[in-house]
Amino acid sequence: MTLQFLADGVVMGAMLGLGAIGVTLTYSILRFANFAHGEFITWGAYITLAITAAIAMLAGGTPTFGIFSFGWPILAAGMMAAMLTGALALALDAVLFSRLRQRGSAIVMVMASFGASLALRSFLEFLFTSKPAYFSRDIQMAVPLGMGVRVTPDQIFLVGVTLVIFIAMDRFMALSASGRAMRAVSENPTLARVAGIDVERVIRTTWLAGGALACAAGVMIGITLQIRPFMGFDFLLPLFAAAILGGIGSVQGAIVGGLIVGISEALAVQIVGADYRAAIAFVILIAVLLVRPAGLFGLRQ
Amino acid sequence: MSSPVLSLEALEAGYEPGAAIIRGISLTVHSGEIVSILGPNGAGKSTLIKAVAGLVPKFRGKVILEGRDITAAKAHELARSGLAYVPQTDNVFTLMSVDDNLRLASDILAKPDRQGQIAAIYEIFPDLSRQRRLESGRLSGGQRQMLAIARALIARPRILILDEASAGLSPKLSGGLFAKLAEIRDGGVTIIMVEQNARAALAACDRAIIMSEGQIAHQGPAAQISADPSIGRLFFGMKSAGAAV
Repeated sequence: MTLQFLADGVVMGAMLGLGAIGVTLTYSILRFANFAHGEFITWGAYITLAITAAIAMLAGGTPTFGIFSFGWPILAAGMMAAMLTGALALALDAVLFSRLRQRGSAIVMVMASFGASLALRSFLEFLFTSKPAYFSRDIQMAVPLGMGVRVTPDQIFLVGVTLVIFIAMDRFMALSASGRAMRAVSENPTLARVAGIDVERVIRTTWLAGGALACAAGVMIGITLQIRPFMGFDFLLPLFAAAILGGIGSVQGAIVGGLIVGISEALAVQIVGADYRAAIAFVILIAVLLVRPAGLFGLRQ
Repeated sequence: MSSPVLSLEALEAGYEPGAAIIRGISLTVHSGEIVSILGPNGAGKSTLIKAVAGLVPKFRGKVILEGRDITAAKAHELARSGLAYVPQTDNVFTLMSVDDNLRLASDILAKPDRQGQIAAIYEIFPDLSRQRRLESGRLSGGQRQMLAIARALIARPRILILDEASAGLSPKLSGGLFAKLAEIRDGGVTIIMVEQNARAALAACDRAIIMSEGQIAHQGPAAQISADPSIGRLFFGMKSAGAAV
């Protein structure tokens, strides 16, 4: 057994953590498990792909940064796509969730999110087909880090990006007025209202942030793996496992939960084989719900 | 008489349309007053102030704050318009520090004003200042109540509405709370408080409104109500003759 699983797990965990931040924020503030979150990941990746293709057409190619498989077009496209995915999340709230929210039934919201997930995925499949797509087909050479561990430059870059986004989100939640308002609405929406917070505005900020972070996760998955209509859906269970393991409402928890799920999955691949990989998130999810429902950084059960 | 701060005109309110709990209440609260709202359980006291604070739907009537019609205003807009409401329970953000509770409340002020106002509130509540880094869920009941009031005062309200602020507090802490409210009133804030503890409330307020079945059954100066034995028998279930409370 080598320590390669650690590197693979950290890379996977970084992607899960980014997606789980969006899950944990929407779950804690909107008070329902949004199963359409996986589609924001997929849509984010496809929108980035489409904008990258448009930039390549206009610029006459897709230049790359030195040792990386991608260049400025993907980063620029990713930023634009993050805004558009946030807008997609907002639009979904406006046409669907905001109407159901007034009725106050979480289970109706969850079922609606299932429906929205199916519709968004099918529409994407109609537009782009189910054939996998790639940001780059170049083969990257992994560089040795010592003790038999090898990682690609892209993977190092993406873990770094995750770290930067995590620190930015953590500080945003702790220090900014919007972050305080989000924490307040998450804990007690009625008190937040009498404290002068426009709860609907906080909900809109949450959808925007959740959509943008899902897009970032989608681009990372697209760069390291591939882009296909089911990519977000396949990540849904590990994302929820990471968010619940970390503790609903906690940004740090989402990242730590993502890393634990990612490393556990990678370890399972080495020990029992890749066939059982998908079961690991499920096992972690059940174990957390049974043993510590509030999660590691438990704010709420 | 000083100018009216809050007026209710034939207000009807409740949780379900067609099932009004507050049935045609009209009242006026003047600047610098401490007004207690008393009455038996189920009289509609808490529902009345929740309706004023924008948390319970209003069906008919008007709510006027310093001449402005605020009947249709949302709860968060009222907090920014000079009306502060402190709920009976869950009235602080327990997962946030004392400081973050106050910062959150100060976020509705202009940026240059925020830090100074937090410092001013810490001067009024020095006990909170010493615990500013503490998660507010770890405060004692009395300290939590003080933080809830401090949070409400951050936005410099013209009127402070409290729902059973002394509930669960020892007589000594209740006394301290009412003394603090008198201090806040002296600072220019008009106060309305719903109270179960009629004796303590009447001792602390200028005027009392007694509610029964969603309507005003009686109102008058606190001293007059305290001295009226019939009120104690009618509204507080006191069987013996003598003073009401």
